[in-house]
Amino acid sequence: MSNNEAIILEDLFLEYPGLRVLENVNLKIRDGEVIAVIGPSGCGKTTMAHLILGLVPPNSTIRGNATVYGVDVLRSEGVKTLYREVGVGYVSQVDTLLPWRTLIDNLVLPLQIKGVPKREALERAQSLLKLVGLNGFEKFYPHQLSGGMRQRAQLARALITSPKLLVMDEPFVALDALTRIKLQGHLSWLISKLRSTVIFITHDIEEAITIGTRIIVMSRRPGTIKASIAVEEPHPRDPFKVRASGYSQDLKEKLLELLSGEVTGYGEG
Amino acid sequence: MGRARELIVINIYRIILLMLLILLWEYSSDRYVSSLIIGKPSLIAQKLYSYVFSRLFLEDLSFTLQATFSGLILGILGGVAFGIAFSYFKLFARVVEPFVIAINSLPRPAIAPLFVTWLGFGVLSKTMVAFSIVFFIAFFNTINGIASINPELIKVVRVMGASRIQIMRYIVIPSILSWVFAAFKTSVGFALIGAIIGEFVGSTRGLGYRMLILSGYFDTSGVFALLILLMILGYSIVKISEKIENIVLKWRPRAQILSIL
Repeated sequence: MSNNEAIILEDLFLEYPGLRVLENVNLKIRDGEVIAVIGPSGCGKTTMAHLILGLVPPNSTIRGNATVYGVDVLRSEGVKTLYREVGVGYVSQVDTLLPWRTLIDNLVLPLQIKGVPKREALERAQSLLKLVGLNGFEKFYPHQLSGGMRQRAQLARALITSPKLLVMDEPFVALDALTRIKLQGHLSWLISKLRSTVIFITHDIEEAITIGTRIIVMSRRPGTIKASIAVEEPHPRDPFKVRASGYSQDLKEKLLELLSGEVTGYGEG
Repeated sequence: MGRARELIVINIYRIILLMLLILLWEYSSDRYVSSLIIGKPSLIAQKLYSYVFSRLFLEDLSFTLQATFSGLILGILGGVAFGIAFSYFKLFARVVEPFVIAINSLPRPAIAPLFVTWLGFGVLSKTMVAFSIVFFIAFFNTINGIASINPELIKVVRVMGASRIQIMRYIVIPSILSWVFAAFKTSVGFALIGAIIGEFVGSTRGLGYRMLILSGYFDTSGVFALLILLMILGYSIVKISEKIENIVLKWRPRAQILSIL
């Protein structure tokens, strides 16, 4: 492994009884890269992200290698090291704020788990809340916040331990179009401030172009890496300008062409 | 009509209706039907007054409340513990499931005499009747609480590096508590019913026992006086548990749900 390689997937294969999900997945991600993963629905994007996070699906057969910052994440000992020493953040596509905790208590949870003193945890949570523009809402419960605010809170919670790796699985999927664009801009600004390696899963081509410094295109199931396209534009990016730019149009056409071959007819899954 | 004004009007109508019924009852008693059968409001008031200010009342009340709350606390603790074991240990669950369903299907008044036989006429047998009802409410709510946990919550917390014990502390227990406390009001009501059933079957004290004695003497007005006391007690307990429930589950979007309904 070269020194700046954060994630290496080699000949990765995963199947459930009667369903092959991933096949020959080979991928190297450098430290600090922002990878947008795009592919047809059900192609195994989330499964691949879960494997990188050490979340091995039950009843699955796995072959190949997966290392994250030198840690074998297909072994339970490696997964413990990944969580406790490397540090990862995960933002799911569903709302995972704990409904019985206030916003500030949700944010400090990862630090509580790591045994960070309460005062220090609260200070860090406050600074993160400012960063995502949620200061003033500390005592609010999740149901009192809008969808966009909840997603920003989840992002802040994932970042509070300054993880080396941040995995976001379609985090903006449930939001309206305008909120999505706003949050894409906000995330791009955050990425410019972070040093984390980011894996951002999406099914939205424009979102992938706005967020990724590299876009990985996956084939339909069983998913494999079909293409890898660099996006040279530096962060922070303005989602509105990205959508209007010439390079974005070219990329969009290229991605559409790559994906069109992967989209099956209605009823074929 | 404004909401506050509407409420005042409704309350006035309620009081008028209640007064009319009481007057009709008082007028009919011993005139058309014997007060031995239907009681008499003036007699009920007298009995209520003399009983409430007697030493017996405090003894009976404390006995019934002791059985109710011991049964409630033990039932909730036992039901939650058993529910957790049931959800975590699949083999255990599969082995005991038919027994749990069979025991729960038994009507509690039918097993109350056994508790009296085994545990005597004291507070313990009444506690056990209350326990036998509350236990199953807590047990089924615990199972539902655990089953309803969003698997993504567990994944997110695991990625934070949480151990099994931390997952239990931060996710599982709060999920269970929200379900158990959501049924707290029902549990308290049923615990009181359990204690009264226990007293009916065999006791030497308690509000239920006193009612049974008065009924044996054909003191219908006395029985009605006790019923009124039980109604006030049950209502107060339910209202207090509503307050506790609202404090413990203050994070729930209650107002929103009500406005949708």
